[in-house]
Amino acid sequence: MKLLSRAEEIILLSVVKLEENAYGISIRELIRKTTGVEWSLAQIYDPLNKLTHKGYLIKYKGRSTPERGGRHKYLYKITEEGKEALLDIRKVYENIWEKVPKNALI
Amino acid sequence: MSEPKRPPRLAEQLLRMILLKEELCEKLGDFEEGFQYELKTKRAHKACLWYWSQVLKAIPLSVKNLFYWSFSMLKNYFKIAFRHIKRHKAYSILNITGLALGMACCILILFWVQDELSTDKFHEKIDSLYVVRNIQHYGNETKEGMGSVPAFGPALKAEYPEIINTARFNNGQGEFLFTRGKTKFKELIQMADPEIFQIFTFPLIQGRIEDLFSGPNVMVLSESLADKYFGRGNPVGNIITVNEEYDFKVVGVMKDIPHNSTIRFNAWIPLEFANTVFRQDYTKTWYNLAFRTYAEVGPNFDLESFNKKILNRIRDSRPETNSEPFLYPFSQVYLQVWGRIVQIRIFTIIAFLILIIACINFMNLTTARSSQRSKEVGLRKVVGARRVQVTKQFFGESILFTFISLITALILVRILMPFFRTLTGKPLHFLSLINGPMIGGIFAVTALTGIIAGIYPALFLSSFRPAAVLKGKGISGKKGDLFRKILVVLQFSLSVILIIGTLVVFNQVKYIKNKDLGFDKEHLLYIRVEGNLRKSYASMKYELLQSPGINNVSLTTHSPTGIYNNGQDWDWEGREPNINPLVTYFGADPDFLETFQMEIAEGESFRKGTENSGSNVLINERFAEIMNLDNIIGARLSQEGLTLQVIGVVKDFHFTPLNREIGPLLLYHNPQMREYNYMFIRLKPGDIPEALAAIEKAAKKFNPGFPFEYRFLDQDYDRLYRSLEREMGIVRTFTILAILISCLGLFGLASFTAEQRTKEIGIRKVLGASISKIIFMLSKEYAKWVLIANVIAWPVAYYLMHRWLSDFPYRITLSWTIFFGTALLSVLIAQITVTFQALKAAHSDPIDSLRYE
Repeated sequence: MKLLSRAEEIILLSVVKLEENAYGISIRELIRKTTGVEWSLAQIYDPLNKLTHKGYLIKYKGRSTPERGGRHKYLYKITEEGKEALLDIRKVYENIWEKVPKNALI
Repeated sequence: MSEPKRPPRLAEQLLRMILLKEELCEKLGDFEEGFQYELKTKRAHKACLWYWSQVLKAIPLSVKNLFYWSFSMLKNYFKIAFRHIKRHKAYSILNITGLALGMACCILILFWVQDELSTDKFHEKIDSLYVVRNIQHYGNETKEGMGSVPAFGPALKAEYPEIINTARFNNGQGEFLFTRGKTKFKELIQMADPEIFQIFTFPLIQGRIEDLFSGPNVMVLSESLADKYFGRGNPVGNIITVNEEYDFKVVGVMKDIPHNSTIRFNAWIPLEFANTVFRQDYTKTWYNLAFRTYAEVGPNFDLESFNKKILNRIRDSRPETNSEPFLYPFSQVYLQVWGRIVQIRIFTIIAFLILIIACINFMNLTTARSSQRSKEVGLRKVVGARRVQVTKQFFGESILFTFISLITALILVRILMPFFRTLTGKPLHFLSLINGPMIGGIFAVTALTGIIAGIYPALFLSSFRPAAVLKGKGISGKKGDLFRKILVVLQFSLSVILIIGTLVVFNQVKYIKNKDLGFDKEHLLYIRVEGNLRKSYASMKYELLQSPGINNVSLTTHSPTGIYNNGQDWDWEGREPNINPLVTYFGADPDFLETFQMEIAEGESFRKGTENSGSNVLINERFAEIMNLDNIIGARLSQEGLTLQVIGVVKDFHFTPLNREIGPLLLYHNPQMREYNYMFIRLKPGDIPEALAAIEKAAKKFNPGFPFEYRFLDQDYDRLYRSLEREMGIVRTFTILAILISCLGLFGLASFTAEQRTKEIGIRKVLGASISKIIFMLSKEYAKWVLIANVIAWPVAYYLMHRWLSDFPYRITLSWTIFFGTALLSVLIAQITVTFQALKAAHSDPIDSLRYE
């Protein structure tokens, strides 16, 4: 089983959370809010492209807005495979965190 | 608010450049939206800064992506190339063989060149070593030589602080008998200053360097010689007797001198020894140019000003001298003074000619088969490949081919190494030749081949228009056809130049070897006059003459292949003051002319018996010509109180290799001067073994201490031309290879043309054309192009060979037969190559070729 990378996981989850409005800028904004880290646009596109290429995301054309210089938005949506991959990685996390003795990390 | 703010133009342009076309809209939009968002919260210039930083941050990732994608394309290109090789095996083998042969030739020649260039470079101090050369003035003529007078070296060291050390060699090596117990052999001895072991890199593996300075009777042996006389024992401290007369103590053993050294010897004795044998002051005089002097100089040595300094010094102290010594870099001696740079250049040029021929092959075969790749190119372009990409693909393919060829070539070189060793007479070894610069050289050659061979096919194939190609129209072959023909012509021109070159060199060498030397060198053998024979040669001569197999016997001072005694300042009545020739001296007894079968042109020879006066001399025609007297017989020649009388003129004979002109010669016969070194014996053609047995018997009787050794003079003459013949052998071999490569290409091309014209041939056959007519039709075109190649090559070859020949004073004339012969030969070779394919095409059944129409 090939696991998602941390960046891919974050992006994928952001897409899921953003539901109908997942595109470059909104994803970046969400990541800033949740992790407190400012990602460059290219840093977002690289995993986005990879995920699309792997088939975990699909890209579709959205509306155009004036602040985009009249250009169309490209929105992202998670696929069944993408969901599966997220569930897989969650299972792995649960396995890893399981049976960690209480107070061990305090 | 006024107009909405736009992101910085330049940054946007940059972004457009690094993004792929299909993602342009999305990414540009996102970037701009981000920019507008920033604008709302921050000031304009901050937002611009933000935009810029975002764009710049995107660059590394896009570069990474670019590599990723080009790599996957590369994988695809290689896959296609390998499939292509597999599918067209015959074509691929032809192509790779041609290239591999060309590269193998090139690598072998590079090995040879590297070895030549490495000559003398093994000396650690090579860059600070100089040799003393001199310019000699003989009347109007000047001569440059490597000789220097004995006293020059020590004076140089004593007077000039910039000279650290000097060492002198006695010119020439003498062959002497070595005795150690029962082991007796003749060996060559080099007399030289012990300093040679300090300034040159001749490392001692046994003995101490101080001991070499301990007196005149010490000796250093090479490793192999020490092995010969002492086996595994330690030679140091032991005695070797030379010529049964002088004892030498072995004080050291040196490593064998490597083959790429201009200074070679197996046994060394000090120069001082000459003082005890020849004359007390032999190594101290300011005359006699019998030495070679080497100097080691200190740092910051300025050659030009130093040479001026010594010239002025010489002019001040000895204004009458005709000799101007100067220092010359030792590292340049082999290349410049020995003139090897010429051969090195010629060979390098040949190597690259062969490589070009091989590249042309590749170009021809690749473009000829372009129709088979046209669909692929069309499809690639339709799917979105740009021309650059297709070009890259075919470039990559040609580089792949070159590297496969390189591996094949290296295997070939490895296999051919033993032959190459015999061919060149150099102890070259594959692994020892592979070093840093060589690997660099090989890769440079490979890359160059890949680029030269690939550039045209890549540009040609990538130019196809997809629409035309995919419709099945094929490509308009006209342009490619013409270019291919030009390439074939070029290729054959190069081959023709090589063939003509080989033929001219071959004829010249044959001419030199067979040229009438002015005497009969067959059935003439000689033995050295040494040991007891020095006293008893007259009796031995008498006894030999009784033997039925022997015609004549003569005693001489030198062998005709090695006369090195000469002098000048001869005066005669009516001499022009600016004429002062360098005259070679040759001493012989009165039987000389009959033994050598030379002829007298004028006057008479020495009289047999004792009534000869020592002042009677013979001169050769050349000398007579220089003296330019009406009455040459009876003319007097004088030099420093010595007066000689010319009694006859001998017809010119060659006493130097034929790449030098015959010079003035003085033949003397002086019964008082018993310095004969050689006994020449003319055998009756017939029973030579019997005569040899008689000579051996006599030699054992009169000179029991020395082993019997003899040599035939014609072998000595052959040896003079050995290096010339060797080079001829190399040139010939590579010419044959070049022709072979050209033929491979022609073969491939012919098969391709025949294939293309299958239908035409089928129709012609159906209409009643005979097989011979079809063969003629297919092959006449190539004959035409090969003939054109000849015509182009002739003037070039004529010019080059004319220049080459002009170095020989005795040379063949460039006759038309060579050129026409070459034309005939090349057409013949081309025809044989083409006819094979033509036959196959002509015999094919028209039903097969026409069925699908």
